[in-house]
Parts: sequence; C-alpha cells; structure tokens
Amino acid sequence: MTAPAGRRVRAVLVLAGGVALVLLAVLPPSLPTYVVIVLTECLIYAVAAGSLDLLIGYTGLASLGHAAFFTVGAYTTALLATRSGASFGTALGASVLLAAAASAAVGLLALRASGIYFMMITLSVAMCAWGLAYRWVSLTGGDTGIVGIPRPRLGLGWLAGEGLEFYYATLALFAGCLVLLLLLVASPFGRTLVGIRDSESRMRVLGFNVWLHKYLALVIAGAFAGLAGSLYAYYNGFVGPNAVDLAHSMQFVLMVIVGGPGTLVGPLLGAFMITVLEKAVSVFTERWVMVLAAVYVVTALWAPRGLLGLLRPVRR
Amino acid sequence: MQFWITQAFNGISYAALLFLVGGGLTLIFGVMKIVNIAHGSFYLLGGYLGVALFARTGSFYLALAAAAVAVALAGMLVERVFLRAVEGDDLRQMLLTMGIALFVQDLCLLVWGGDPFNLRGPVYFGWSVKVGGLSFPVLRLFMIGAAALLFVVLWWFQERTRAGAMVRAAVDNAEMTEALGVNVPLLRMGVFGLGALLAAFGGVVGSAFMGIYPGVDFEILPYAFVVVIVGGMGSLTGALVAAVLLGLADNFGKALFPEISYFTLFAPMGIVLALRPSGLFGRS
Amino acid sequence: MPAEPAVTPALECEEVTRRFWGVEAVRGVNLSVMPGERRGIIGPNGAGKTTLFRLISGEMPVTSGRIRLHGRDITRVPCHRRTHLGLGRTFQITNLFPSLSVTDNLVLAALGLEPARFSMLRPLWTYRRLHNRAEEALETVGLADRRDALVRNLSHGEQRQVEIALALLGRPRVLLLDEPTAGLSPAESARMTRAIQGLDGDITILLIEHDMDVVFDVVSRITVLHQGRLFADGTPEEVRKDPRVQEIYFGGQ
Repeated sequence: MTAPAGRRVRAVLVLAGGVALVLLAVLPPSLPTYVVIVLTECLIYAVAAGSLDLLIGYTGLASLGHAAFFTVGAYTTALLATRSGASFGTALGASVLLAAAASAAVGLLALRASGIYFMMITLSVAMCAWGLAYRWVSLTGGDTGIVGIPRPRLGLGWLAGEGLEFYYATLALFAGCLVLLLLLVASPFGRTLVGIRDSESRMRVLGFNVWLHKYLALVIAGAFAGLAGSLYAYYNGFVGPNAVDLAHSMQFVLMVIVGGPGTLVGPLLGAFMITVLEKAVSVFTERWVMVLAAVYVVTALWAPRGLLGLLRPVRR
Repeated sequence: MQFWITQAFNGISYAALLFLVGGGLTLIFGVMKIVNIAHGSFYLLGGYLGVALFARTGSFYLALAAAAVAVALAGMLVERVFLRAVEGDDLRQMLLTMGIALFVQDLCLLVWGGDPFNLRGPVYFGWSVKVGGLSFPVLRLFMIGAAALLFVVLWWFQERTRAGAMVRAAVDNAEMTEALGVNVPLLRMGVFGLGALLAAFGGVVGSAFMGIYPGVDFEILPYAFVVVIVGGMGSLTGALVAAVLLGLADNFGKALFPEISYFTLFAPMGIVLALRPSGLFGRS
Repeated sequence: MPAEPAVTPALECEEVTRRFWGVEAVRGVNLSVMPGERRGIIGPNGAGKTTLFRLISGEMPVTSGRIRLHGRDITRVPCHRRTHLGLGRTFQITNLFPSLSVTDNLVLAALGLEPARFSMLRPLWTYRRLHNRAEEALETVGLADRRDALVRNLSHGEQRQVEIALALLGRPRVLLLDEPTAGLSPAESARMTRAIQGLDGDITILLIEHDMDVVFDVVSRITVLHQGRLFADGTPEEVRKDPRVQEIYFGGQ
C-alpha cells in the first residue's frame, strides 16, 4: 500500500505503536499488580496472534491449528521447568524448536489440501493435540496438567513489584518478536506470501515454489507460537489440555480477525482487546461465554476485516 | 476371542454414533462447504431436549422424534438468518458457527446446569441379548440398528429421489446446479436442517448411551471431523465406512493403548491425508 | 555437401494429451516452434488452446506425451521451475495481484527468479536492482504514471499491459501469450499489437488469439487446433485460404 492515504495511516500507526511501546516499558512499575499481570498475558497472546496473522492475513492460509503449536511450546517448557530444572533460555529454545518441528510435520500433511479442507485438517490437528494432552497422562498429566511451573529467575529481582521481572522479560521478547515479524512482513519473503494470497497460479508462473513458501510460513509461525506457549507456561504456572481446546484454538483466530487480518498490528491489538475484554466482563457476569459468542457473531457478520479494517475505507 | 468380539461389537456400536454425527457434518460440508463448528451443539441440544422430553412424556421415541425435529428447525433458522448473510467466505462462516456453538453451549449450561444426565429410555434398553456366552446390550443393538436404518433411508433418498439428486449435484457443482434452476438456497437450508437432525438424533441416542453433559459438544466434534476427512466430504457412504473404521480403531485403541489412544484417531486421518487427501470416497 | 546442423526447436510438443473426467481436452498434439519464431495458435472455442498453454507452462500435468524446452525435456518439471528455464506466460483472464500497486506487482515478478525471494530480514524496498527493473518495465509498457495505483483500480487495457510486463520480467526465452487483446478496444488492440511486434526478436512467442487481424500482423506461422487435435498448420496465407479451417469456424458458409 503505497498510496498517499495509506502512507498517512501507516505513519500514524507507527507513531501510535511507538508511543504504546514506550508506555508499556515505562508505566508498569507504577501500575497495580493486577494490571501488570493482565498486560503480561496480553503480550503473550499478541505474539501468538501476530504470528498467526502471518498465515491468515498475509499468506491466506486459514490455519486453525495454531493453538496446537502454542501448546507444544507450553508443555515443553512446563516439563523442562518442573522435571529438569532447565533454565529460561533452554526451555524457551526447546519450546521454539519443538513447536517448529511439530509445525513442520503437520505442514507436510495439511498442505496437501487447500481452502476449507485445509481449515478442517488444521482444526482436527488442534483437536488431536487436545486429545493427546488429555489422555497421555504419563507425559502431560492428563486433565490435571502440569502444575507448579516456577517463574524463571532472570536476575531482574531488583525490580520491586509482583510479576514485574517476568513482565519485562515478556515485554522484551514481545518487542523482539515484533521486530522480527515486521522485518519478515516487509522482506521479499513476506511479500511473496502476499502474492500467494492474491494469486497462487500467478506466483507459480512467475517462478515461485508456492508450496515451499507456504511451508516455511507455517513452520515460522509455529516457532513463534511455541515461544508464546513457553511464556504462557511460565506466566500461568500451570499447563493443561484447555490450552488447546476448541475454544482456545478459535480464540487465536478471533484475535486476528477482530484486530484486522493482514495488518500485523491489528491482530496485536486484537489480542489485547479480547484478553482485556474477558477479564473485564468476567468481573460483572458469569456469562463471559455468551459475550464471547456475541463477539464472534458480530465480527463475522459486520466486521470481517476487523477493527483496522473498519478504520480503512475501501477506496475506489 | 471373547475380548475381540466384544470390542468389535462395542466399536461398531460406537461407530453408529459417529456415523450419525459425522454423516450430518459431511452432508453440510459437501453441499454448503462450511466448517460447521456448531455441529456438536446440535448434538448437545438434541441430547438435552431428548432427556427433558422423555422426562415429560415417558416416551423415548416421541422424545427422539421431537428433539430431532426441533433441532432441525433451529438449524434451518440459523442457516436462514445467519449463515446466508456470510455465504461464500469460509472464515466468516466458521467464526459465525463458532459463535453459535458458544451461545448454545452457554444456553444449555444456563438451562440445564452442569450436572450430567442419562436418558434411561424404554425398559428394554437395560437388557442384554445373550448369545453364546457373550452379552450384547440392547441399547447398543438399537444404536447399530437405528444408524443402519438411517443410512439406508438417506442412501435411498440420495440415490433414488429427485431431491437427493439435487443434493448430489450441489455437492459436485453448486453453480451449475443453480443455473439448472434448482432453488439452491432452499436446498442449503434443507441440508443444514438435515445435518442438524442427524446430529440431534445422535445426541438423544448418545444421552442414553453415555449421558449428556456440558462439553460433550466440543468432545464429539473432532470425531465428526475425522469421519468427514477420512470418509470424504459430502459422501454418506464414506461417512459410514469411516465411522466404522474409527469406531473400531478408537475402541481397540482405548482398550489396548489407552494413553496414546488419540493416535488411533489421528493415524487413520494422517494416513488418508498422506495417500488420498480427498478422503476415501471423496472427489478431488 | 556437409549437412547443416539442425537447430533445436525452442519448444516441442510430442503427442501431448490431456484427459480429465473421461474427456480428452488435448489429444496427441505435435508442435515444433523454432527459436525466434512467432507462432499463432487459433481454433474455435473449446479447441483446447488454453489447456495446451496450461500443459506447456506446467500448471496442469500431461496425461501422456512429452514437452521439450530448447531441447530439454520438461514434461515432469514443476511449473515454477519451467519459469527458471525460460518459459513465460500471460493469462487469458487477467491474473494480477489486485491488492497491490502496479510497482509492487512488477517487483514481485522481478523477484521470481532471484534467490532473494527467500530473504526474510531485509526489507524489499532496499533491493534497488529489482525496483529499477520494475521501473524499466513500467516505462516499456507506458504505465509509469500509474506506478502507485492499485492494480484493481486500473482499466482493463492497463491491466492487460501489466500482464505482459509481468511475464517479461521473468526474462523468458519462450513466451506464451493467451489472448492478450481480449476485451480491448480497437485502439488498445493496435497498441498491444505494436508492443508484441516490438518484443525482442530472440524471444520465441506463441500467441493464442481470436482477433485475426492481430494474428496475421504478428505471426509467421499458424497452428490450428480443433477439438483438442492439431487440425492445420501453415503460413497465415495458407491457413486463411484453407477451406477446412473456414468450415470449422463458420460451419460451411
């Protein structure tokens, strides 16, 4: 989007993003603990949603299996942290690698299909992951899951305040992921994904190995999901099959769509919005699921291009 | 030997349930090209309504019929009011069905609470037929019989009636079917209702078999999906074959390797996808 | 007298057949196009012309037969690799990247053959060479003033120009043009014809066209397809005068 209006919108977004990051870095020590906790969760989901946008928004791959790789990362970290006393870096690295490997394996099967068939298959993968998490009790602890995941010790203990040490670690990783994703999206590879979304046949005829590009996108997105999952394990202190149940799996997709697929920033916002909404609504009513249902329906019917899509009028 | 026969029988009776849920989903998928996440909700709603109506009337068959029809009508309403508005966009349709699924889930929770229910059904559901030292519960026999009957009826409908031919045509080529003058919107609504009916039927039967409780809607969904993927989208025969395969695989898996029994679900799906992505009876 | 060394045809089709759903869309087509030649492919609707193009470009696999590009058997070579071997194609129904600007479309096309297409950490706009090539292509087709316009906002004629520019950026040695003047006004057709005539003489061109004026102006040889089979082959004059060709088009008037 290089038209002047597009540039103006982009400039505003960049500015807003910069301001937001600064606020996220500077404000937390003076914020109540609860807010810091919610922000941490938002950042974790932002990484997951942003990487999913790579697939849904940029490549046009409606992958519904993102939560499976998120959960692979979560369980990996959970197991390493509780059973092997692994360090933060090791657990994180292992989670990323295993999630990427799972993504690589699944991609080989899933990419044999396209369109709704692809959606069905990726969703089934997520469901099978749930089933495995639920039944493979010796590994995953079954329904009980893995509990007692300790917060990593990062030498930032001088930050007085509950959860601040982990918050800043999360923020730093989020910022790193954001930079990587922005670079990726602006890179030649990222632009090929957009081309694939618009017209696979054209891309093939131009010389691009479309399958390979899609596959790489899946693996990369899976790696980011694994990272988010790892952080989630530390954040939550507990990992169970619910991390990859249907509701959770679809929630990632909702965050992407609500924010605005194909914008990267939109899904980040979407992650914040849905997370905060859940926390806020749950204070007033037990019927959060009803509210969530309404969000799904309203988004599907009236805002399929998300919040950022609403802000960007269709130009003639 | 006893073990194998019993397990096989259990697998086939479970397959009956899978066929009911998967068959409905494959029709919806095949004709409407929708990933219907609300399919489990039809099962759930059917189950709860079945239990409630049975408690009210004391007649299992009345409850079964009424619940199935009620859910079918609800399904048609959903199609007409919601799904038609987002026709053509896979992702939007899926989000919509997810919203409906969540809504139904919470509604059922609100109305019926969190405790599980068991549909007792007629007295003979508690009996067993004894053959050569083995015991075959009448309920399971009923499940197999009901599913087989439904399959025959549906097969006859699809292969021998005009309406069925229209459905088959719509699976193959919706545009062409519309161009030939078939009222495709009405057809879609009907198929969605039929799918809902089958799922609700499964729900009532399932509530007698394993009870009805919050969460079963999302539990049964992966099974339905795998039946559709393995059997082939839009193929009723495929759904039957896949249901049998999966019912057996799941049962033997649970009995022999309980911990990785989900693999017995995943493996057939993986194999089919690797070798024949369109499913056993699907069209590429 | 010593025999002259035979020149390898730029493109050869040997008994190429494509069957689906029991119908043979292309049957036993034999084609031999020499380097630098301009060959027209004509025939009534449904003759299999676009299917033949799809088989040559690799979008569709052949059921039987062989295809050779500059002597090299490409029958089993995947579509995208054929482009790397020098094959280019335009589409009958405009097939661009609608959400991107004209420049972005062209840059993407220039990227197709570059190893940089897998580069993930350096922004695309820093690749000056690609952008220069895109700029050149813009000038060549005369769309320099529309460089920032979204392709979906271009007129049909402008879009057809971008189609050709995209194919040319792949530096093709053999170019398949599928009805380049489809939907164009007479003035636009004339401009397109001149553009095609002005293409590098080393490029071998296969042209599917319904507009006979364009065909006769551009090509030196015509192949006629009918019901998937090779029906006639000859110079434009020979084909124009062939009564059988007239019959399949006009039904014996």
